[in-house]
Amino acid sequence: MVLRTHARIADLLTREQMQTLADTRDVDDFLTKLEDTPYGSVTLDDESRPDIAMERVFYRKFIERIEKIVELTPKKIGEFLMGYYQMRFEVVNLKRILRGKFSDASEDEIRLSLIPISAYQVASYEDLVKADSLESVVEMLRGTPYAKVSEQMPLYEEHDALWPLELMLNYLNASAILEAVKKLPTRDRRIVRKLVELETDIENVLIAIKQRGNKGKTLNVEELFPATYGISVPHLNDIIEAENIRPVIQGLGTPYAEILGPIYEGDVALIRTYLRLAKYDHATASRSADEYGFNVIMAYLVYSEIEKDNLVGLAWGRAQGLTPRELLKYVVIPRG
Amino acid sequence: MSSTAGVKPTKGFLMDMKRRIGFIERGTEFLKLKRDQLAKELTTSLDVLRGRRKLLMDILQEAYAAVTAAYLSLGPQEVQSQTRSIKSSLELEVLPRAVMGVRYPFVKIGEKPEITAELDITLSVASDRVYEILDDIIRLAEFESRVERIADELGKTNRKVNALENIIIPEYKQIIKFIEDKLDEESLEELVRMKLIGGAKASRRN
Repeated sequence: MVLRTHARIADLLTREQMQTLADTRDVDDFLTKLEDTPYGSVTLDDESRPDIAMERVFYRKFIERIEKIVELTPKKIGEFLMGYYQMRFEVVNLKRILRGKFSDASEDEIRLSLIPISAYQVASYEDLVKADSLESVVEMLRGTPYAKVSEQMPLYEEHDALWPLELMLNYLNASAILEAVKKLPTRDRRIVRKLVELETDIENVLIAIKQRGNKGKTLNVEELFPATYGISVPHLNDIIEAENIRPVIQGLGTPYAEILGPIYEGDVALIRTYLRLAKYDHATASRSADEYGFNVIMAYLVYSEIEKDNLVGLAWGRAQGLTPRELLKYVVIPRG
Repeated sequence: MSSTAGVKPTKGFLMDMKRRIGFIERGTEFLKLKRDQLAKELTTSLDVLRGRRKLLMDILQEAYAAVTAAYLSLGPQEVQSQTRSIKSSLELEVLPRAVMGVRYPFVKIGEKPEITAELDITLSVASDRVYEILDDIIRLAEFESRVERIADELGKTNRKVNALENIIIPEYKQIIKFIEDKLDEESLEELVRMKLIGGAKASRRN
């Protein structure tokens, strides 16, 4: 199993292939160059929005990879991996359905915005898409692991904003993953725990940075940050309140200070790139520490997800006619 | 076909032609004045436009970079989905205004979109940047449109003046000359005829 995963890691796009794709002239050239990679020839289901059609293609490919890896892994690990990714994507889909209902988007618009996966913890996405209101969607989530979303409805009504529901979904996702991790053998837990915690911590900091612009508004930080790990609520509060953010960020130590470095230049998007890079490095370090275990599988999936994000970004950039320099700034180029 | 074809060489027609050419020449003078004013307005506007564009371009590039970063960070589908949560939209009313008879659009901003707290930070930064310059972009678009219309009108006025000066007025002058020549010729003929008749009558009397 591990040997096969190593072979799959070798099939991921190299630094040169990624550079070649970034250097393409347009979408057609991008698709031609993509044919020379393990992705082969891809067919776009919507010629009018090639960037979005390609995003769907790369998601499908990533999901295929997860399914193939799950087939190779022992049952417990397989179940964990499916749960880990399925729930993440399901949470994204639920947010998109809620946003669609919030803005009175058409059923087709909502349907097209969903990540192409089958329903995991809910009965069916189609039923949710067809629900006549956001309240009905939340009602339909009762009896699923997302039932707690309904507890946020008073906050949603108070603010007429979706963030209380979205934050609860994030929290439920992180909690479910960390609960599922407990079923893994002790030695395999570290890499997943670290990845989930790192991502949650950085996303919390990003929310805190955003709240800096809302000074004067009364905030309940406990509501804003239902789950915290390496960066505690008081630290997050400091980020919101501090006049000068630099000492607070530096005080967070490694790896947070490095990942959050771009904030000094005001480039918040680059923080996510640095987060991906930190996840890439963590996966690589964990893989080096144990070349014959779960870490290799997890590393492969982390690399694959980063590759998917990179390709989605490059495809969009090609459709927009951006220069490789503009694009590559936000792409985590594979090392070596 | 000659411009004199079908022209009636009568005194009435000549007077009508002279009246018309006087009117056309006065119109041409007015058009020349309009052309000069439009040219002056265009030159001034172009300078202003260049300045405004340069100022806005730097900020616009920053805003565009922020939008690009948000797309690259979240992916196009997620950006689309998140932007749906912005309930209100930009409402504009386009009204007509005129300068020297040139109509151009004036944009009245009705309602601006309200960016609530649910956007991702990357999108929020991008929307803030765009929001800051939204008024400036609209005013610049309005001004560009005004300059375009003035340039169009200047082109049209110039073509009209050229056509009047080089084609219509010379044609009218040619027609007037033709009629005057014809009338001169006719009066000369008439004079000769009268003289001949006068001579014949005198010789008959003698």
